[in-house]
Amino acid sequence: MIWKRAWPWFVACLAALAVVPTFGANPYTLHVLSLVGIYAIVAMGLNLVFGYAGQISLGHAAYFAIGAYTSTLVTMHLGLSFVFGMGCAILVAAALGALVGIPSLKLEGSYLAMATIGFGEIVKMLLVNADSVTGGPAGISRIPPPDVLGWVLSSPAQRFYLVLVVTAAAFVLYFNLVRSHYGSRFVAVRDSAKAAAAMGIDVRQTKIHAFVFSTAFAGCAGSLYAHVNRYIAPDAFGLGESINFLIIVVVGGMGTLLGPIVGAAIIVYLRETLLALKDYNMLIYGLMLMILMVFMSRGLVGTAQVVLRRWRARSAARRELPVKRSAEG
Amino acid sequence: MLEAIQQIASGLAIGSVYALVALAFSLTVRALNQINFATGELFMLGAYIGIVFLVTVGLPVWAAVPATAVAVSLVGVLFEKVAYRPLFKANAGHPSRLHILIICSTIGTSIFLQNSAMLVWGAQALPFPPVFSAKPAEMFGVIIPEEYLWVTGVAVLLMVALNVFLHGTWTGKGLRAAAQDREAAALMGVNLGAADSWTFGVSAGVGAVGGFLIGAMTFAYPTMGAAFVLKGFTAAIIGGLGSIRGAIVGGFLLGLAESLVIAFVSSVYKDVVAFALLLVFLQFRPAGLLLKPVQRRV
Amino acid sequence: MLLVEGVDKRFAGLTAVAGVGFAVARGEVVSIIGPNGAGKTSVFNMITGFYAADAGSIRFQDTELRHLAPHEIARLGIARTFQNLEVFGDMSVRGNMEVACQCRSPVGLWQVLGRTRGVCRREGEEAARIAELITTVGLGHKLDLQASQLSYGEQRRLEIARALATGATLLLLDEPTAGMSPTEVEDILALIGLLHQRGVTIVMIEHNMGLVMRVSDRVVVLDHGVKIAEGSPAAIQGDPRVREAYLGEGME
Repeated sequence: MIWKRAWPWFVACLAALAVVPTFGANPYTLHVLSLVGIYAIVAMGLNLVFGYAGQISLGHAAYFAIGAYTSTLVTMHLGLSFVFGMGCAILVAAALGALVGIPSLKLEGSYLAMATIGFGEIVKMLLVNADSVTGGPAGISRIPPPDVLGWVLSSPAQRFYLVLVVTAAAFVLYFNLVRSHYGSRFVAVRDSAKAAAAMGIDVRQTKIHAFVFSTAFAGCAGSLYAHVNRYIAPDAFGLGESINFLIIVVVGGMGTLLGPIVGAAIIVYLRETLLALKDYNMLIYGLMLMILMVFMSRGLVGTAQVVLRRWRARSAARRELPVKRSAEG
Repeated sequence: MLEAIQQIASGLAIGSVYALVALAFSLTVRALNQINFATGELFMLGAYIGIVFLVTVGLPVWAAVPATAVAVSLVGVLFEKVAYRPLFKANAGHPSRLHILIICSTIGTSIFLQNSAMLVWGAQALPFPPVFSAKPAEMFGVIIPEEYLWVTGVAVLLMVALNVFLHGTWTGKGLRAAAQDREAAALMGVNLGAADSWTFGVSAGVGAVGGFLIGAMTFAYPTMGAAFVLKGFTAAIIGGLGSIRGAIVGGFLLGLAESLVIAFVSSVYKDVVAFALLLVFLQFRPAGLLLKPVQRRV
Repeated sequence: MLLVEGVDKRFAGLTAVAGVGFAVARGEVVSIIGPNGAGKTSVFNMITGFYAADAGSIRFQDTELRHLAPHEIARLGIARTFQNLEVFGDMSVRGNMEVACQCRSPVGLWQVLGRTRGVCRREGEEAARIAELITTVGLGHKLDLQASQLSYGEQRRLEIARALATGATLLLLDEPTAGMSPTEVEDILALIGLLHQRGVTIVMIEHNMGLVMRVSDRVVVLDHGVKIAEGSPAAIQGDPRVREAYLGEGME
């Protein structure tokens, strides 16, 4: 039922993206588009935590890193295929998510934020210091390109298609979850934990579900990132990256269906274009963030929804007006 | 043994700075239940503005410290008006969303301030003019660098002043009332908007003096806030987030713990101590040492 | 159906409820009345697991509830409304109902992720049930509105519909008519009558004595955490102890 209206749009968007490489997009554009897909996967998972369940995590770069390193190590040292590596990445990230989430999610607000930061920093320290396995601060380079069923995806266009397929699959799962009746329980926990419990919802378990779901998504995205970028280092997985994930979700629109995808596209694009401004790059980034929070606290998609709703209400009122007049007359 | 005592003296000096950062955190948390992630950058500004007052303006130390505190307080007040209040007003009915938005907005401010400092003063560390004499002083047969005593002394003086302000002046009493129960305070005639501005201002000023003191012992550099922010927060959690006494106790305890680890284990593990303590306290005693744990069933 | 025996609740030395006990039979409407601070809502909170009782026993269809968490009790078939409204304000009226629908037989997470036929069929059935229930409480035309946009009386009715959607056999209503206009009270009265006909067991806390006297099979009176009387509405109206407890509050 929920797919009835959505699937034509879904197929149309996929088709539009699928023809991008054939229209001579250069490798750089394809790489940036792949990054958008990867960040969108992380953001979809996180939106469930921030937007729907109303919890905070500032440590998701850690799960992204765990996915990236797990997949890299499995493919490089055990010689297994990428698909298997990604499977391991998802499982390990989800397992660690459960391990951290179960004790941490009893904390609230600022405390939860700090506990997740602490975990993120510890993972980063481990990555830097366990250099026999992780390559230390220099990281791991020459990661093999992804292979699917024995077919090595060596060109950027092929990797773009891989990211597209995985992102689409992730979106299907995410859509099924948040648009089902089951998905309402996440918002219920955020709006009133008391009433949610009185409706038979295990509040703690619901928060943990959202958290583990998001860490599994982060692990999956991390695995893609490692094999698409073909180089990973601890620097890319610090607090800054966790903050970046948060910003993607908030700028897109917390608790909106398409917010994570729009947010990922905007933020990846911004980061790439702001690079040209060199020294002013981060300064402008910070400033824009402050301005966005103040003037568009619902995010781009959320604000668009409000504008659309108002416009609809106004046009509906205009349609009703003549009817009333004729009734009075 | 002598070395250990010297380490303890340095632990107390560093701890007093941790306590100031913890105070800066706790002041906004107890009044508004929001963490200001830009606290570290206000701390960093304290060091740079300190250099401006000492070198460019040429003030003596005793005047430069309060001048720095006041200048950075004004930045804090501006921050409250620009990046906090509009958000608070627009999302008052949605606490969980407000919380995440405030985190984003304070992080945005922190990125902005850090990069502004980098543009104005450069990415390299900026040396402080000699403020406190580094010549060794002898106390109880142990040689301790004199600056440790100065740093600890100034920090303690500021804590006393803060206490007098909160308990002895009308403004301070208003702030305490607003922190306890906003509605009741408003009914009693406390101007909540002004109280929030004061809270951010005082918090920024306290943090800035911490930055000044650390700068005076080492350098000023743009990312120094990030280095101290987690330590300060850990100190606040150890004592009890939102408690003034807790912040002070937590700061000194963390400083001592670190110095003891350096003295008896290895300086490599210095930073691990803070993280380990942070996680242990969050998991087992999130209310800290001085606050009563709250019991909830849902 | 529900058997409460000798429950105590103390808060930091203050006794809120002491040795209260009463029984509710299937299909009854029982009202709990008493002056403010008599411990009525505390009794509700103990039955639904929000407070842990310090002593006594609470049994529902032979299951001891005292050590169960609120969501476990809800899944056994006890639903409640709140004195201070607790609708999910950011959700649509429909969303509020969807949450409640899954109370007694939760769907598996994996089925939801895969969106199996079973899930689709269930959601279809739930949608039909939601439409039926929400029309019963008279909010049929507001299904897609945000719950926070409803009026006060409408939010109260939504809470009742939501409690019913859980499939509960025992309904606890905490002041269902508080702050309502006389016409709205009549609506609630009709609604309670309707539920009574359908065989839902109801326990309610209520201040509107007119309503209590008209719908209740039995009335329990609390004062200062102690049960001072229990009986039919007529007997309670004539009871001198009850008059004393209400002295100055103007009981009719």
